[in-house]
Amino acid sequence: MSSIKIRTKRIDGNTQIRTLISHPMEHGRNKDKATNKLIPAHYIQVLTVKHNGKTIAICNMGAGVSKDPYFAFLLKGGKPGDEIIIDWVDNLGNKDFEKHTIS
Amino acid sequence: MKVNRRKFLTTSLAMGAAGMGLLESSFASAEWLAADFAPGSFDATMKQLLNGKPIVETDKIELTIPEIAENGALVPVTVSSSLKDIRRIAIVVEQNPVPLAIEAELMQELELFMSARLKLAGTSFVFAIAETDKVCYSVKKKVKVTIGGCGG
Repeated sequence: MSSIKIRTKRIDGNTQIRTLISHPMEHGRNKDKATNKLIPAHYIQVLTVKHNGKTIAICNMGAGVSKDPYFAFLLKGGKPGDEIIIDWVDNLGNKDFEKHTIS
Repeated sequence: MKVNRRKFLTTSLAMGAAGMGLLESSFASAEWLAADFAPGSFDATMKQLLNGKPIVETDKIELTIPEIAENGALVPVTVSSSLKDIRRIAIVVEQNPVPLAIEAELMQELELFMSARLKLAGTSFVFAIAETDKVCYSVKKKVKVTIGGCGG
């Protein structure tokens, strides 16, 4: 199952793109209470949003973004059938992507 | 390294008038820089972000964030603006160990609008910085955190 959820909604001729990603976003300074060791940093570094194949947003982020990050963007125009692709890469090299069609 | 890349980016953007293609390619090459997200002081982060551009306080950027956050681990933030020519929005939390939270490049296809959720280590000013060709606009709001966002 993909870690990314995408929802789009048409508002006044624009399209709101909302995304929720399940990711721990550990910044590396928290301790595991059971073992008393630091939990290694594990966070998303880059999130990219594509609309019909064209990149429309690149978000670089640090661990200052909360666990299970949520993002919302507002696309000018956009019509049913348009394809939105969101992908992310984290500091351990993991990546994931999800396709969504505006309805 | 980072200075070189920044310099390259600035110069190539300055030449952007000569060709939109070049402008776009420098956008696409925006990469994640460890130096930007390194733990450090707020001043150092700002210096790096501004890249020599003057900072202008404005009321034309809207920063929506709760004044009091019960839980610092999850603070919703929204930045929107009617200003034109903005190509980069950054959100900086003054008191966080890593002050820079998000640095986003929004292309022309998007309205200047972005929502996200932040972690706040404690009560802090949150800055939204919008970068244009010549200046950086900034707006700040204070958020009072009643439970820190650092712990689990």
